[in-house]
Amino acid sequence: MKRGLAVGFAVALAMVAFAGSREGIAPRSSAGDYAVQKQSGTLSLGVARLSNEQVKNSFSADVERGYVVIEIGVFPGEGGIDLRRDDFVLRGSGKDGAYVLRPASPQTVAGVLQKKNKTAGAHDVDVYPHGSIGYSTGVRDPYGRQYPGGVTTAVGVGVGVGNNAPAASTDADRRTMETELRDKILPEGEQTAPVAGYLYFPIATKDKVSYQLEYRAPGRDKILMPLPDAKK
Amino acid sequence: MKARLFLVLLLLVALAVPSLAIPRIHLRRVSVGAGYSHFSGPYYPYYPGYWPGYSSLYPGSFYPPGYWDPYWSPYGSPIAYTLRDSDKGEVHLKDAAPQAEVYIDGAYAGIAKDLRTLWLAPGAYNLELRSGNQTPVQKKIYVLTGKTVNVRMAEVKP
Repeated sequence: MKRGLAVGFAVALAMVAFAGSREGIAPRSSAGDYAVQKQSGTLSLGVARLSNEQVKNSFSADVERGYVVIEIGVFPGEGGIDLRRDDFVLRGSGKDGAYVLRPASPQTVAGVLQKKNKTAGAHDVDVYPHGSIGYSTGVRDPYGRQYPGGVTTAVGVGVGVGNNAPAASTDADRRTMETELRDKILPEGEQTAPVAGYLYFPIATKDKVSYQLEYRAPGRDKILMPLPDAKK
Repeated sequence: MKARLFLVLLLLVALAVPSLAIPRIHLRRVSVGAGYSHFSGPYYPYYPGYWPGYSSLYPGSFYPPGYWDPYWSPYGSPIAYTLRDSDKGEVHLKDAAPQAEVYIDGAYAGIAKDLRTLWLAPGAYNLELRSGNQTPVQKKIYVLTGKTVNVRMAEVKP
């Protein structure tokens, strides 16, 4: 009886741990629902590059300031797949040449964004407006004369320069950003059912770049998917 | 000589440029309030141009008519309602039913009509709305300092 309870407790703990570490987002109904789709054997991949606006709406952090976000849906079909994020590579070609980018970890992205936010706010100006309404009961002067009071109003503004805490720049912010990025990242490991999630690739240049996503896993054919420009 | 001076100036500009980043202006804390002030002396509020008063700047002296006491200031506001807090993040419940019960990390927070705007410390929270006999809807939200999260529960599947 005690052994049964212990096993049940261990199973419950494992379920809680599994639920807590679940990564990714809900996959769309099929690979055809993504902007680009490719099939290789029983495996189907659906891919979409998020526009800056979509990234802003999907994340609390300003991920679009340094990263290209790709949504990937994996439909393993029969037999399943051993999914590795490092099997995806983003190939970019611009006027300065070609780039090969590997996905960045949530820890790296969060650290970079926190640092950028800190730097961005180092010289910012903070404005603190103030307004107040009061009532004066009047005053009496040194000669005993009474002067009437009345409603008093005041407005003011305080200005602070430098040494302020810019948005999303604290260690708690970094941890929160990391949690969100990890929660929404493409899951890894053995997959038998459709899964989806995001990959974060660093922006190599500010110039216009054409991207292609490459998937190359051991024992599988290489899949190359050209990504159309994201809508502004 | 001129060329050397030009080079020195160029060097100074190059060193200064990183610290001359264009600043952004943030509207931070806005406060409004009402208050009561009581004068107990030793100086008196000044009526501009008409009333001689006693200045704590020059003890024992009366300043002449028209003199503006540098220590006189508008009444302060002992009660202030903070509309914006710089070390928290803002959460807007966009489309929640007014009477829906709001739970944050499993704890009851109030009803939606009173919680259209929430201020939370940075972190990840489980937000849940319970409305009548409807299936509760849950959403994980990520709050960052100084940022606003717009929550649309209609987009969440129960």
